[in-house]
Amino acid sequence: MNNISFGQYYPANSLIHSLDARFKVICAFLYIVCSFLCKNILSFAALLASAALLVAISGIPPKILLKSLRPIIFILLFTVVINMFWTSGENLVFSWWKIRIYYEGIMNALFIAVRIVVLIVGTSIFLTYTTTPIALTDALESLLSPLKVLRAPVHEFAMMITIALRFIPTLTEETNRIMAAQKARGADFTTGSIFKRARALIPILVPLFVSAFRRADELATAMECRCYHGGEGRTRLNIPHSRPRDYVMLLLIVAFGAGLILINIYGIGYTMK
Amino acid sequence: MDEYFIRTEHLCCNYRDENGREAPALIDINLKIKKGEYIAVIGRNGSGKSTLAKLLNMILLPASGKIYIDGKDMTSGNLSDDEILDIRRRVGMVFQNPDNQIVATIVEEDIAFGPENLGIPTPEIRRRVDYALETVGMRGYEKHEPHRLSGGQKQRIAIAGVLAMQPECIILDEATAMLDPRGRAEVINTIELLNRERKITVIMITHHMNEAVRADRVIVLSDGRLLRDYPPRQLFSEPDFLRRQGLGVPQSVELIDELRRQGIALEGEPVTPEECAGAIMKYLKQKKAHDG
Ligand SMILES: Nc1ncnc2c1ncn2[C@@H]1O[C@H](COP(=O)(O)OP(=O)(O)OP(=O)(O)O)[C@@H](O)[C@H]1O
Ligand SMILES: [Mg+2]
Repeated sequence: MNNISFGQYYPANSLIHSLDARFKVICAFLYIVCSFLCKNILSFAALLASAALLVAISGIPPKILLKSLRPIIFILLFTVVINMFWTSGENLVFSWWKIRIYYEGIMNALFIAVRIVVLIVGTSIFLTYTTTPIALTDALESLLSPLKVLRAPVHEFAMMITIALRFIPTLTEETNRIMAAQKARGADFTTGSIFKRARALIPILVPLFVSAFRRADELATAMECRCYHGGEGRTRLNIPHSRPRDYVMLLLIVAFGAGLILINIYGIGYTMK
Repeated sequence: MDEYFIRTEHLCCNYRDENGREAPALIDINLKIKKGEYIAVIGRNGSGKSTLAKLLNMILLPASGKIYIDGKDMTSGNLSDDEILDIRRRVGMVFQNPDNQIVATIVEEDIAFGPENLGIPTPEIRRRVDYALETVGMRGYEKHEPHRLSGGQKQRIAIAGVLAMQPECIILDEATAMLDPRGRAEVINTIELLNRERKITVIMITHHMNEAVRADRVIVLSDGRLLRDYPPRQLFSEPDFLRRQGLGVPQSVELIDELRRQGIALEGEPVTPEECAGAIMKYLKQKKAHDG
């Protein structure tokens, strides 16, 4: 039970791993914008190429990345089908009974599939695979700190996430222990209808919640004992530092977006609406 | 300034029970603890040990009575937030369950939590983290994840987290209760080192008589009352009282008692295992010299 990795972080020493998490959050956001700037076959090709380049630089095995796409296969298929069958255009490719498939529909489906895949791959490379959840939380706190002026509970939110992350392994371990204890008393979690199996979880959830509340109470006291009094006047051990490479990455992505806009203007072939 | 670091006068504390009635948890506690003393607090479950600990760093407020920390009245009711934070910095606490007091997912971040809250500048936090890790003998674990450490290591991290605030007193509320003998020894050795070399006042709440025996003074609580405040030697010379309180006597004291009952005349009043070993050695040597 000791090797639960947090999230999907993939430890490695790539250039992308070494970037400042705040910049990576901005880069991920800009990269999403880029993927929505693409309108024709050339820009989508460039987008796909940029994603491949990112994968190469990040040093994350493509096999692992493909795994991250598994949960969205259904959404992917769904949007592809919808676009294929519901886009009407001028060049009819195939028609049978009430089904009409146009060239425009095929292209739209293809483009959107590429966009979704690149979106997932791009953001997971910038955020989840190369950034620890703690660095990510700190980056979000720092990026959202201007909202503190509006009295948004930015620090509290970041603290909540940090503590949640901290307790994932503890509570996972506890769940396993409770499950083992209930199994030893003859509980059965693997057979029967869904309804029956869900009911079998109650004897796990109740003690888990009781213990989680007790832990929360003790943790709150312990934090108070260590002078916690909210985010006001708090300093940090590790202050994020931006380096030239962070700015270079940012510039590259902005340039990439500008390039995509140019491609759209002088676009060739089918243009997506 | 006061000669005592902690002083309480007629201290009382109540909890509200399920029926909304006030139930006393501590009654008329009078305590005097000097700087640098090593105090053990014992008593059966529900005797008020944790309540006393929480009163001393202002997590709880007393119903009546006075608490003076370093001569300053904590119960006057007009303390500023900064003064309360300062008390919590000076009187640190380590709790029983290491999992429920570690805040961060990386060791060094957790140790830095206290100083961060106090607004210490970053380079100084770094120095304190290094120093605290060094003191508890956990150098090299800076970047580790606490949940992968052993129980004893986790408790040492918790102690380091308190140390980084540069406290003058550390209260350990059954901090060794969930540890195996090795983890317990790690924690006790760390604490004794702090007490001896850094002159940090230690208040050790424990159920282990073998730990209590090492203190300068042992305080016995029972149903919220302070029954004894004796040096261990004196306390453990009344084993019947302790057994009545549902408390044992240290194995070392038990051994000496048993040997004496068997007619083996040992010298002095040994209580700690080391002293007992010394007394037995001395007896054996004398016997050998006598026989031979
Ligand atoms: N939050 C609370 N609400 C109501 N009553 C409480 C609360 N905490 C403690 N008590 C009661 O106060 C009394 C003293 O409790 P305390 O936790 O100080 O005992 P303890 O000596 O630390 O016990 P243990 O050895 O179990 O830790 C007990 O009777 C307990 O039931
Ligand atoms: Mg207690």
